[in-house]
Amino acid sequence: MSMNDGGPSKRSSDAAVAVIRQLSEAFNARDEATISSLLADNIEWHEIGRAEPIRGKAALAERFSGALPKWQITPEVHDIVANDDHVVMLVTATATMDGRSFTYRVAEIYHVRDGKVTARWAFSDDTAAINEFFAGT
Amino acid sequence: MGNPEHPNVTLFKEAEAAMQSQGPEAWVEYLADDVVWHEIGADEPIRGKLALAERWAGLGAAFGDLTTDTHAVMADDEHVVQLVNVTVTKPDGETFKYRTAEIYHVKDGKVTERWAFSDDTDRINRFFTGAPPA
Repeated sequence: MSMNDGGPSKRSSDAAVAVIRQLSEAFNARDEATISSLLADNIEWHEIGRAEPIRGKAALAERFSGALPKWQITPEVHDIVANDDHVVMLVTATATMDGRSFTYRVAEIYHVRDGKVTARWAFSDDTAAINEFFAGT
Repeated sequence: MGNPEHPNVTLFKEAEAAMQSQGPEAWVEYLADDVVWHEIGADEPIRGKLALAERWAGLGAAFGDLTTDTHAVMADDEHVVQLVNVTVTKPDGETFKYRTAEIYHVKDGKVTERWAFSDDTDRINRFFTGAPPA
């Protein structure tokens, strides 16, 4: 039985996994209202290539509104694993921007509390290639 | 109330305890003979338990002391993800710290494949190749 199939031994981490699935779907749909509803006001959002995280839901909304029009990212969720403190989503993402295309793999690591994302990190196996593609955005 | 632990989480906790008490070579017992081991900065993986054991045996001499602190382990039937804080202390005393998400495939209680992700692989590559900061 899979950890995330909602079987009889349903886990409390299932709720956090559901939040991350919903967030991923909202990003795909560019559904800003749903995205906002799933983020804690004091969220810390760590991005590859940025020394400091984006702090706060309002600052993150600004980041998304400025960056999202520049690129299109199509994520393919490979798997999601979780415990009571963390959710890790394994993703193969294809980004397109200015006629260029780039496919990379990422492990998105989330803290979820009371149904809201409170922190997020992104890890990959070649962050230099990711930084090069997204340079200037 | 705590959740039931996935058997692969239990397996990794056992492996970690064995490594802490017996040294890194204890990890080899948890590897499939034909394990495929992907390292940050390497185009090709290391293939096979024997080749990997050789690789690990040479790490201490090359880079000094490498210690790992497992922050969390999560698993389902397909993957184990281990969040790790790594500290490398070179023979000259210089230390280097980084974080990884170690992603494993496990079959029949043995690791069959591993990948390592981090938030700044360029920095890790520079340290282990001795290249100056970009």
